[in-house]
Amino acid sequence: MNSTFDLRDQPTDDFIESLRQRFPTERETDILLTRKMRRRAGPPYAQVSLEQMVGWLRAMLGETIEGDFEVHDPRWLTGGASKVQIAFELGWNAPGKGPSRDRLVVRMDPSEASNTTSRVREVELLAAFEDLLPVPKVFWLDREARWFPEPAIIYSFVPGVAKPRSAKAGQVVGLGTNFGERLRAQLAPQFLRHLAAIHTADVSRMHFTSMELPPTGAVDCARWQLHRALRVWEEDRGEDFPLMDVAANWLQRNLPSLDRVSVVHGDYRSGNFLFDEPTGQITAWLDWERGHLGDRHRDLAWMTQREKGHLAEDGKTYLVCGLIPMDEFYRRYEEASGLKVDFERLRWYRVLNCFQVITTTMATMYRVAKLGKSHQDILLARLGAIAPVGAHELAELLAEVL
Amino acid sequence: MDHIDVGLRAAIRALKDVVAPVIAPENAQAREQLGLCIDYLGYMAERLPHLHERDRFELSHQLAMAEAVRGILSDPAAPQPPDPAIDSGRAALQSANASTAEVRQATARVAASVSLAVQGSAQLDPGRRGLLERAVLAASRQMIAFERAWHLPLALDPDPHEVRPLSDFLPVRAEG
Repeated sequence: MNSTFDLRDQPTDDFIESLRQRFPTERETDILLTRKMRRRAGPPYAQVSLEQMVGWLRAMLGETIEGDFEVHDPRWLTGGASKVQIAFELGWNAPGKGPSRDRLVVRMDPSEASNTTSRVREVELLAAFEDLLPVPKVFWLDREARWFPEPAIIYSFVPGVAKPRSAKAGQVVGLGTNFGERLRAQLAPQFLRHLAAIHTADVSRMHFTSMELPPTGAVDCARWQLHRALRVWEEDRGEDFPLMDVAANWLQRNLPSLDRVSVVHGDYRSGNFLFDEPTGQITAWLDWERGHLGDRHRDLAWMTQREKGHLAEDGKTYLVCGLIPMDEFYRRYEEASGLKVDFERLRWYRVLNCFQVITTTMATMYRVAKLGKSHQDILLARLGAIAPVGAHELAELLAEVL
Repeated sequence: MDHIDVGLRAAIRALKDVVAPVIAPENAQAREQLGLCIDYLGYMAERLPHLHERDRFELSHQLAMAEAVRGILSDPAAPQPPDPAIDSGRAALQSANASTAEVRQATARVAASVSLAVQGSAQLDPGRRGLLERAVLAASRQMIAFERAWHLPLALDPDPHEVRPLSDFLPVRAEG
């Protein structure tokens, strides 16, 4: 159907610039979203073969490391929605270590992803938490897509699973994973402890070039995040949804101030950590690409959204990320972190996150799949089913405040 | 009579019975994509017979919302001026000959008029703005409930027991 929204398939410079002016946000976010829109009229994603991926990898390694090397056992990694990933083994002469054989992962953007995010930011956050949390170790970054067709990271392969091998729920990107009682008891304390470590990390001792430090006692942090969501909604959507306009108005009128700057993971939930199934030990936290410096309530609101958890065996108790009963969650978080949960701020971020989820599933995934821009278009089409779940939660929240 | 639904189910069987068994286990990407395609084709086969009713339901929903909003924004002491979006939407809904494309265009026009009213509501006094926003919220609930029912076969709703049957919203026919 032709509509006024088709302009977004081939956005003009004026359209792109008008959205930049209407929704100022962090510099790195602005650069990435502008790049996305300027490339949108370009060709769709071209399916790449394993051989092509290995060819680009060899080209990069040939210029990046000294001496001979061998790439062994390349294979596709699946399960995610937004990145093209392969695993491989590298035989090489590692600096300071000598002849080595390392298991590594290439993680590359498609032509346009369901989330436009920064590989630089991901690398900086993984490096910052290398000694604090189980995370993959970054080896190389192809920031400007010099060797790969799109920006890519190469980091260590971490063994583990994202869901129990027997799990029925959570088959799509880990949403609603049912871990079962044994793993729940083993994973929940680590889940809270790691979250506390992220939110209480001393930001002043970390070095980031891709993230801006928002001021405390002001609303800049909330405004940057809101503007990012509003801009993406306007860039990608294919229809009007008046409830989103109501939500945008309420969010603009009620921007919360920032009480403390934390590292915000951005996508802290089941499906984004790996664990060793026999021992129940978390082996890696992944997908830091939505990370930023800001308000811890953004993470808390994200992981407590309905689609990220499920009901326990009693059919009544809602489990946050399939791990912790909702009525215990905030108390246990406060105990683990020493940080207070402010329920007014939390509510604002819950509304923002619903807006964000609807934007991703109803606007961005629609646009990316329509234009054939990713390797996972069929999954993105399916994930459109989450939009009404987010809309239901948004309506419930707005009913409390309007 | 059209038999696309039969063709879709035949395609699913072919993919499951003939294609899936010959994909090598190590080709994880192809296996995952095939599974997603089979699931999506199954969803299409289930929903295809109801597509036109779905479009008409959506138009009637947007019209109800637009009329509620117009009632709040108009001067109660003066006659209501004509609203081209609402008028053309009503005409499309009442016409037995309106095509799917015409129904969708009418729906888009009506939704755009409501969105525009909400976007401009910062100019209203807080009392009237509150009435407007609550009216949109109230009207949206029915459409959201419908969308959850429509998407239920994709198994992504965390509260499937809450989701009402599609027959609550559409005149669902018995399938042969």
